[in-house]
Amino acid sequence: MLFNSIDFAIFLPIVFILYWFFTNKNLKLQNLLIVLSSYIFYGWWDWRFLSLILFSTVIDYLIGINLSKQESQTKRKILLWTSTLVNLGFLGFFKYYNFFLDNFITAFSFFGTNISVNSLNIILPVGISFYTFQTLSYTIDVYKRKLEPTKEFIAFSAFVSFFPQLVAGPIERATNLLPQFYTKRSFDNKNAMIGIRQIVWGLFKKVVIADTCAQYANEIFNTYEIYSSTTLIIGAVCFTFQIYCDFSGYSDIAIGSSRLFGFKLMKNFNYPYFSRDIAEFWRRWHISLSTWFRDYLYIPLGGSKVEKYKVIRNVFIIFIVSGFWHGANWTFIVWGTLNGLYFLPSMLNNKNRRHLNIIAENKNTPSLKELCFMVKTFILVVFAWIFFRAENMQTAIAYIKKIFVFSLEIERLRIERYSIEIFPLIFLLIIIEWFGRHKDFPLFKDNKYQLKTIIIILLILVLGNFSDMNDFIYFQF
Amino acid sequence: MRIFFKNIALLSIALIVMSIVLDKSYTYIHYNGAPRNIPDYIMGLKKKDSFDYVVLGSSRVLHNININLIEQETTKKGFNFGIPGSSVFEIKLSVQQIVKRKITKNIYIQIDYIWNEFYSGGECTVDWLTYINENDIWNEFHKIDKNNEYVLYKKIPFLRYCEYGSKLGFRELIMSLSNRKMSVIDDNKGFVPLFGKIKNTEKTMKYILKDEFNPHLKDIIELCEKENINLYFFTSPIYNFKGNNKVLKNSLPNYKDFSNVIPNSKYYQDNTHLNNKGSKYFTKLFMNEYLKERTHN
Repeated sequence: MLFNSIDFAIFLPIVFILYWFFTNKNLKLQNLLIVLSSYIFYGWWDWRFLSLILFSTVIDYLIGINLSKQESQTKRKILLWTSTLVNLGFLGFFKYYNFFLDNFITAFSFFGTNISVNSLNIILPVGISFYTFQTLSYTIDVYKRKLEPTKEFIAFSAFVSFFPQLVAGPIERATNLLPQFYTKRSFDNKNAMIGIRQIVWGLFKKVVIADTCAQYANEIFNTYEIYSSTTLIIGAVCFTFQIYCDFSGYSDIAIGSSRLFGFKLMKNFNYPYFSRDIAEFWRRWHISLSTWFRDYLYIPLGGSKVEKYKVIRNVFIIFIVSGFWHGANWTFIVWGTLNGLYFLPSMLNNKNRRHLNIIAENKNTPSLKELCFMVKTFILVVFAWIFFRAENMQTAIAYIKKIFVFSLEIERLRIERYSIEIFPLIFLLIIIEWFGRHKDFPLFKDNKYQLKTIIIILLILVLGNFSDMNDFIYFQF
Repeated sequence: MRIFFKNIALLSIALIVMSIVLDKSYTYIHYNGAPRNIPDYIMGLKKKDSFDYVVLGSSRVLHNININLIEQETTKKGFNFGIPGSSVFEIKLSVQQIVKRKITKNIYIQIDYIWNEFYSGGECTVDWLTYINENDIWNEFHKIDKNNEYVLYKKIPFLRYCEYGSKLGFRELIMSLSNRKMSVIDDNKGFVPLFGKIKNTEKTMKYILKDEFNPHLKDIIELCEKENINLYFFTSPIYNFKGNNKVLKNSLPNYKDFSNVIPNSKYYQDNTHLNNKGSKYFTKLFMNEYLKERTHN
């Protein structure tokens, strides 16, 4: 079920009413409702893959209980590795099988050996990377004794499958989300209204900005051969805003929907394009994944408290793995590596934590220095996104080569009706986000008549792309 | 919870009011702005915009009949109302509005396998949704609305403009307000040439026509008889056509089958569409058959 669909617009109020009016007196019943709703939400896409979620849930639930009973370190390790292998095994099979197979065949043919193996026609289950990492965090935390394993299967199932964040995050930690299923939720009007506003804001980013930018980005990236340098740069900038508004829009709707049910999810984006360096960008972009890799991969590898060459190794490992997490394509690996390269100098010079505050704090405009830093970071990010968006490495390289054949000509795109509004729309987004950058999201506060919210709803009605709408990009990951 | 529902009610009322106001504004602009599609153009026609003849149908009219060429040869003023993806249902809507506006006495309709489409609209039905609140247009939508889909577009304000934003929404409206009418309306009188040649000359085209009379066509024939309109049916050329149009010949008045008159592949862009060269060739055949030999009212 898509957040920007009529189905969800009907589904959400029904679950809301059942949740607060029919099951509110019984916590277990409320959690059961969440599980059933989540399974319906996911099954709407393809019910066959519900068995994968259920299987992961059962395995991690049982392993969690066994970990608490087990004192032998060896047996505990075996249990941890069982969970890791099962979860990553599913992920590896569905997401990476064909990639490894193709590269294996290519590598052998390079040495003159031709192997004939057929690739499989595998459907990638929506959100598998997200819920796999979420359940893994539970087992690892239980193994590290940071978390007591749950004995409540329904609560655990609700944690794994919680529909607002099931298919595209934020990737929740068991330490944050699971305990929320143990305690009775009470309805808080203020929090619920913040939730509604966050949903509206997320929808605005998705259907107005991201889906409009997508029209430009798709046209320019798909037929880059016919366009000149400036148009290609515009295409890359459009994709930069598309991916941000698409993904952060989804996160806003997810967090907003959770608020309606009395849950607090972690923040996933914090105005990343207002970053002054790459380190700050990565503290503000897809926070739930970055911190996951930091806590479960980077720090266990030694983090930055080891020899310099190991720090370099650790930085590249998390960036490459992060790139690979997005998809089985060399373009994602290059995107990750490039970000690692951007990040490394500040890490080695201990300048990666220079910008921990909000840019231009207590000011309306940034200083010239801040603006230059921000623009420089933005350009680096845009450049890396070209790899992320391109179909394959050949396309990415050809696209970049064409950008460097400088030309100031801007061609009229072949999509006539999308020719006027993109720059004002992006400008509008930047202005709204700039003045709202000290809040969780720009619509966090509103007056009693909800005036700002009403204006944003009006913009959604008028400018929303409902007929040319695209799936959320991160569904494919 | 009460305060929450009060706020939700406030937002819902705002949403409803905005939808009604936007719906009225969009509809007004579609009626009065520069036409962005054929239905817009038809609905804006007045009696003074009269034509000696009009041609209706799908892309097999749009790309096949060059109105300017006919005008040069015969001085007869016409218009090509071909809409890509048009089914008989949309042709009926067009005919009804054309007849209502009394802008011509001679109507030519291209018909082929679209004969088989009895109860559904084609992909261009959306273009007519702007005008769904007109009684006669709604009556027609109502007849095909088996799934109660169109009634939602009529009853829920702004739904049609939201859902079909790319065809009817804000971006089209801006074009309309900035007076950017469809360029083909003025330049080519509706005709849009295709360029290129057919790629697969071995491919054949075949269809089987239902033995039942198409109800929309029946309505068109009755309407034209009642209003004293000369109605002609024809089938455009088809490359490698292996079917037959006997059903059409036996059922339709003033029917002419051109399906096999152009056998050479160089005149085609694909099996069912002529290229620019082919459209010139066919237009001459069409003209000789209908417009040179007859004297129109």
